[in-house]
Amino acid sequence: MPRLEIGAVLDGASTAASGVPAFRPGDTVAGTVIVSAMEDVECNGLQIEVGWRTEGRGTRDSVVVDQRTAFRGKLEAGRTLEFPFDAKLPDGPWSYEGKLLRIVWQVEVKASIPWARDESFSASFVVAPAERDDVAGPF
Amino acid sequence: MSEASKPTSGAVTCPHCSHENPSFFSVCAHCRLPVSDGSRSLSFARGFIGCWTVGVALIGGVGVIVLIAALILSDENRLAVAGFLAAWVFVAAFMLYAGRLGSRGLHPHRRRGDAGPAGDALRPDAARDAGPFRLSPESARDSESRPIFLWFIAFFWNGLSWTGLIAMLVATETKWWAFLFIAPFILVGLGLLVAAVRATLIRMRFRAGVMTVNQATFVPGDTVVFDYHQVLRRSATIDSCTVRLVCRETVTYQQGTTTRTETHDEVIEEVTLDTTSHMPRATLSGDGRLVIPKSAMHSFLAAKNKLEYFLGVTVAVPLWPDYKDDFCVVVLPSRIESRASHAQT
Repeated sequence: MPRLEIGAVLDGASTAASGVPAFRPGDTVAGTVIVSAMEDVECNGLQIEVGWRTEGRGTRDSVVVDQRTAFRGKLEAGRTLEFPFDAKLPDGPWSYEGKLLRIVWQVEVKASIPWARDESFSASFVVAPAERDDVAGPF
Repeated sequence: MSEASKPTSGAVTCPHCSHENPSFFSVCAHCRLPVSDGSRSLSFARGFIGCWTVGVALIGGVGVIVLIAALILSDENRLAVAGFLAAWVFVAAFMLYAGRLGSRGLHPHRRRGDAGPAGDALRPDAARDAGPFRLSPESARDSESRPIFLWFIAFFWNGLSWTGLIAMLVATETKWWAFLFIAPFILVGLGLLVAAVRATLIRMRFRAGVMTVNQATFVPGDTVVFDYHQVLRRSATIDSCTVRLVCRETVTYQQGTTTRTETHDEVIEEVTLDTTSHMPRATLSGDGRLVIPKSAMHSFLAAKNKLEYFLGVTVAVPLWPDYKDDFCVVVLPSRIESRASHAQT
């Protein structure tokens, strides 16, 4: 059973054809990370990362465009904490779904817990200009 | 497996060619070397210095062995040493040739006198005013040396495998499975010979093509206006000359100890150029326009995953291998357009 329940809500995002939140290149991704502790947990660092990664047949490439430590300390059982975050998106790469390659943008939350398995959560979103709301295929 | 990098922003300047790349290009759009460090170009150069060194050392070694052989060996042994030395000289000559190629620069985007994509890669509007721009062919690295390289490999491989086969045929008690064992090596050798002949035939007929386009970089929705020239070494009746705008996904992955690369092409548009019969040293030329769709994805160059656009040229000659070459076109994100349209919505 996980010690932490982690979730994230992205603010002000439109919805892409695939149903996931969508942003334009250069936009600011803003949202809130919600963390609930199931038991008392000492957290060495709650990291919020915004970045992209590739998926598909190739070895994974990934880049983190924004990284911050939102919290460090003791999380008490039954308590829910909210951590707002924002990150400015670069001009690219845009989200992409090809035959061999996919480019996926995501907000990833990692909680480092001493002497236990780290907890993590990721929420993907789409980065594309208006002309490419459907990110499937090269054109 | 993951090759995560530190948070990045803005442009990345290539340490090898000083070309400015978008922050999400981990491979330079100009020289195709990693933008993160200069170690690869250093090792690249060292490799060819190594070729020179080995070549010179081998030639020197030949002299020493000839001297020893002349002094102490019998006539029969001298013959064996002569055969061995011939192979040695062959390898040494190839190493020296490789060293010479390396000093000239093998990479298609690093040839002298080649402007390469614009330094203003991050400013699409500025790049649009760049005027006619010459693209480097993907095959430039091996266009002249490819046949020689293939002949070298083919001779080396066939020399070994056929020697083995002949030794088996001469021997009186060769088992059937020994022939089965050597058969794949013989087949590979024959394949190499076919490849060498094919490459030689192509080079006998064509010089490398020259492609110029109207802009250094493009954004989705742009029109690629191209002009293609190619000098024929011999007279030829050209069946067709087509130029395709191709979007190519290239992924690299590790399978055991082998690094595998897979590609997938999507042809966006194709133009057939007007062609006729040509005399030797005549120039096959043509121009056309190809449109990058407004909804197209931009070029993406990461270490192991790439999405690139190419102008793919195919020149078909009856009863002769087709000449094929690709010219890379850099498509950048339409930052300005996308922001404007987003502001309207």
